[in-house]
Amino acid sequence: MLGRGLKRKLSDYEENMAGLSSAFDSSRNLPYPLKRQLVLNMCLTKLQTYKMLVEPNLHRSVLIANTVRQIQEEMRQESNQQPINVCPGITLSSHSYTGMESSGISLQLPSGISQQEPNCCDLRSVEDPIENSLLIVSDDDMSSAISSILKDLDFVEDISPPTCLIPTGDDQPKFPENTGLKLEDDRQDLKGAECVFGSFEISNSTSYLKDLAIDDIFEDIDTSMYDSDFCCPPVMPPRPPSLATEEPLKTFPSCNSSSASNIQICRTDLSELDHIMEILVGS
Amino acid sequence: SLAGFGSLMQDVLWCFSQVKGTIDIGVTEADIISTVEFNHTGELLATGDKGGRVVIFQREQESKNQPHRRGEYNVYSTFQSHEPEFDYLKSLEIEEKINKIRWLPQQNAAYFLLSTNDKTVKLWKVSERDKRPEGYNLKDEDGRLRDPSMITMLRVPVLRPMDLMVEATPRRVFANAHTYHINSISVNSDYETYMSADDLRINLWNFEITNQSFNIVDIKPANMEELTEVITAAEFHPHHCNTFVYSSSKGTIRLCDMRTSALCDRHAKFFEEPEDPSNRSFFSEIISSISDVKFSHSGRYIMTRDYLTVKVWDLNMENRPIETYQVHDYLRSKLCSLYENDCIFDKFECVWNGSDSVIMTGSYNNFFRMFDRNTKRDVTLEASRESSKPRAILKPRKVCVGGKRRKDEISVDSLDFSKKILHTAWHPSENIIAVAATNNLYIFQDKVN
Repeated sequence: MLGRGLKRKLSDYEENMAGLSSAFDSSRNLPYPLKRQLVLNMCLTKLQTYKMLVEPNLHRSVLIANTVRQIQEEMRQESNQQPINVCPGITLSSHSYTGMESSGISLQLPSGISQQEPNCCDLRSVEDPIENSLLIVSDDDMSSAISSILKDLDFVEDISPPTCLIPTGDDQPKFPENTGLKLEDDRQDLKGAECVFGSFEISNSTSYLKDLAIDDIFEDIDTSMYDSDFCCPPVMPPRPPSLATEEPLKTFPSCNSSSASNIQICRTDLSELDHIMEILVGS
Repeated sequence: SLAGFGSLMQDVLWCFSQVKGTIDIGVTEADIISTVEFNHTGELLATGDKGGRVVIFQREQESKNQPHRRGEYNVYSTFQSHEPEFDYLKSLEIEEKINKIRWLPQQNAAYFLLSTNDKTVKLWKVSERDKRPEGYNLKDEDGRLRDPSMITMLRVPVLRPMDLMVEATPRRVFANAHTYHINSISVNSDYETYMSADDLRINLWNFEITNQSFNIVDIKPANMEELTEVITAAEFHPHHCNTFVYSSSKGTIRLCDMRTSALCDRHAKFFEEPEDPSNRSFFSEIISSISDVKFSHSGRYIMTRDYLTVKVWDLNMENRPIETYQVHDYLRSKLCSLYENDCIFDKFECVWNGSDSVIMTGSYNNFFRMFDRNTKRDVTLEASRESSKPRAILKPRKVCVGGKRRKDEISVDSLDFSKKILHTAWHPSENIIAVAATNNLYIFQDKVN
């Protein structure tokens, strides 16, 4: 039941799965363990696919992992209640998927599938293609699939919340320009006067982030009284000490707040340097 | 005008007003609209797309000469908000797709908005310029620097009128605070702070400070293998600046009060509906994952969207929603197929109208649904080029769920699941809606009497 207009190159496997999921949705006679097995296989296949991505989707991975957990729990409870019994009618092929092999999921018979035994055998002629393409998975396999995808999502964090932040690669520390702000008053006034009109040049507004230099601090058009920059409320949280150099700029109402924000403070986090060195050295 | 606003559904007839975007058969991925938002007055309408661009439309002044053209929206500004980035440390490409745009209330002549991709939030200033200075001392007319020693007299630059130019400039860049993907941003009612939420954490920012944020929610377990739940959306209360909510992939909503502690790991309220055993399936948890949460304008209710329903919750009642609306319950019997093709993970948003009397959300086949909370009537409409004649009234659509299909109905199996309406917006005070259909933006208005 793929929608029209949905252009996908379906591999044989995907076509197979699409057919299986349609069967799941439309068939009322499909035995419950078979349905469960189908869903489980779909989950594990998806998790396997995500593992091959550089950055798996965390939200989806968690949802799928939870579905596997739910099925796992159900199967555990059944195996605790029922003696192990295999439906003789089912022929299990050692059908495996590329990718599944690499995860080391072995083929084992599930316990608890015996509940629907009579139905299984009755429907065997119809459901053979379905059964033959289902991979049988053990409890350990499910657990390992879950933990392996979730471990992959534990990204090495280059920040430690809440306060330690390092600048991004493309925002170079602005110290060279910062020192330019420590001017004597008369030089400051001259520069400031020119800078007030500096923003009147037709600037290329599409160069959105490159080199936010001093000019950008004064970029606001000082077109009379009504146009003041984004208002800075009177109550301010504490600032890092290096921003104290911005004090001289407070005379220009359009400048004071933006300068602080445009200058990335370069913090040397020693543990972060160690980490980077490790990667570079290839330990 | 507000006549008829918020009144019974039957009184509102929705008409096509405008559509933006190309009609090409092939859709360029970068043009896919990923967020839509009106500003607080409804004068501006912003869209963000997968290519990292923001397009702002402005409503034109209503003219007495053309009363039927009730304030059309025209392009006001277009800019590149985010570019693709590469994280060298993790060897990851960071998408430039704009996940959310949120406007700040207007405080002066300029407009401000927040836009975010997966990792970085930016504050943009959009302002008009209609004058330019002429007569610099240190530069000549071409912008070349003059030799200062050659200057013998000074003059004061004068402002001369010029053609209106709308500029967008980035005023703040809030980066490096999210390890996981940002799904929500929300401006606080104090207009001094805002929050950004990713899968596992929520950070609070002050607009003035970009190199520091406060972590207010952290649900990352010490051992990732124990992770069973992620944050899916978050929003500040519209009036109480200390209160916010966040939704989870398990269908729960937590309301937090920032006054109680710095790290809001303990919620003040916990909203969860007990599961309906008759609807239990393998996909129950997946379809319970909340894709959007929105406070009503009044602040008394929250609305949540999960895969099949929209729910309205009263803040004073945590154990179940006060209203549940079925968006497309006919999909309940197709969940396995929708899981197989990943449609079950689609994240639909939901919106309130200005008076909180009607709610709207999208569906498949370019359908979108509206529910009137007072009359309990609902309607299904379609955003399509076929019904895009000026001021054409939209005809209600109906999905046939079995049995005989009537002439105008469409059967479930004929629905186009590639045409999904994930993002919609409702004007803050009028019956004007914006509906994003892949790469097209539709604007509908109620019929002018």
